[in-house]
Amino acid sequence: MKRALFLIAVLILLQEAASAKDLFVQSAKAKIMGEPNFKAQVINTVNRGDKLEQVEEKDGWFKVKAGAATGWINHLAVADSPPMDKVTVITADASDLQEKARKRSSAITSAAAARGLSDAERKRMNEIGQADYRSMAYLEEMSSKISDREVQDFEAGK
Amino acid sequence: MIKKILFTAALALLLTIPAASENMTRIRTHHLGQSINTEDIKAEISFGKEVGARILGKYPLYKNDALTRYANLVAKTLAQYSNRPELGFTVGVLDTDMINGFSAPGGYIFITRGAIEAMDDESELAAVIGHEMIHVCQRHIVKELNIHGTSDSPVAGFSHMIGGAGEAVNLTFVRAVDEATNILFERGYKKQDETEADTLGTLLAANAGYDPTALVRYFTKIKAGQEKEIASIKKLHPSFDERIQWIGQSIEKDGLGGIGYKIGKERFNGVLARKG
Repeated sequence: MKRALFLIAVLILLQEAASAKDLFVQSAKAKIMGEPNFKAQVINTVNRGDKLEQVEEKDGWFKVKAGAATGWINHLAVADSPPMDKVTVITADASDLQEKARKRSSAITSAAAARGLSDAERKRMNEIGQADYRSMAYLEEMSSKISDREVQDFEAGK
Repeated sequence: MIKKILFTAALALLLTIPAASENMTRIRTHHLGQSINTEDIKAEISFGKEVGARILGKYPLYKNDALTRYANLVAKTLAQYSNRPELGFTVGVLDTDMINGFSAPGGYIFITRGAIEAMDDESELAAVIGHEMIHVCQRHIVKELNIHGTSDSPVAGFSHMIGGAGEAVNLTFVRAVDEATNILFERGYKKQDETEADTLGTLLAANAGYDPTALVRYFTKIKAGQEKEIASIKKLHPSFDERIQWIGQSIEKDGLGGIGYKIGKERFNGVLARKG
């Protein structure tokens, strides 16, 4: 009898562990709403990295406990692991990129040959295989020059 | 008798545990991120650079510093509200009259000059960038390519490809880039991915404070435009009417209508040197 009660207690604990789930806020800030829609009352505001306990899921919304408050957060704002820091891949200078393009181009020819494509298809493959790494480097430079502060000022209409 | 009841209760509890675990797995797969490390993200970005360079090989870059910076600021504003804070997002404008937008894994977004010229304000630009950003955030191309490495994650498949050596690995990589460009220029995304990009893109833009009806306004305008300018977007996407309908339903479901949002006409006109 005691053993059976112990077993039930253990199983209840296991079940709790299986259904409780942590969510982490990914967006810079997000609203916790009273109902699963944005017209409802705002219960609380959470920030990137905040941990929430999921209670329920409904139609793209999660019911969560955020501190003392319970409310709904849209699934777009959360994930099941903490947010990652920004990841960057250092882009080689334009001459390296052109060299990379040359190597890729020869691989494309091999790939086409390996698949036994016709001359016309190879021509098409080469056409779609054309790449512009210099312009990619220009865009990445333009993007990387923008600071977080500038984005916040832009959002605020400054 | 009591023992029998307790045994039945224990058995019932035992049976519910796998069901709860299964439910968690389903939610993780369909709605949330997977366990991915920094190297996987670097691989996704490196792959996206290759696809982006191909896009720029097909359509030349419209090299306008002011417009490029402006489009990147709009994208970075939206990115603050996305579920991919690890991505920097880079936007380029393509020099073609055609109205369309493209995106590559890792955060590369391209909007055509024709698409921007057909816009009336910043909220429409945010809506189109938001649509492309969701293709990236939800990893639509990555999932479509179905590359798997040592784990179940398709993103880890990129790490496997890029980290490997030899011609076979290189060919696999090139084929994956070919396949991605084929999705972008020939085949189009799955209909459910386009639905998600339209509805979540609208939600993303609204979270950043932009008018959620902007994409509907934009589609209503361009669907009546010149056939040669919209032929590509029509070929690669579901009909405008269908898209307008599901965006409307999504706005209604998430309660996005009737809340004060910004349009950003003045700033948009200023960058495009238009008279208000």
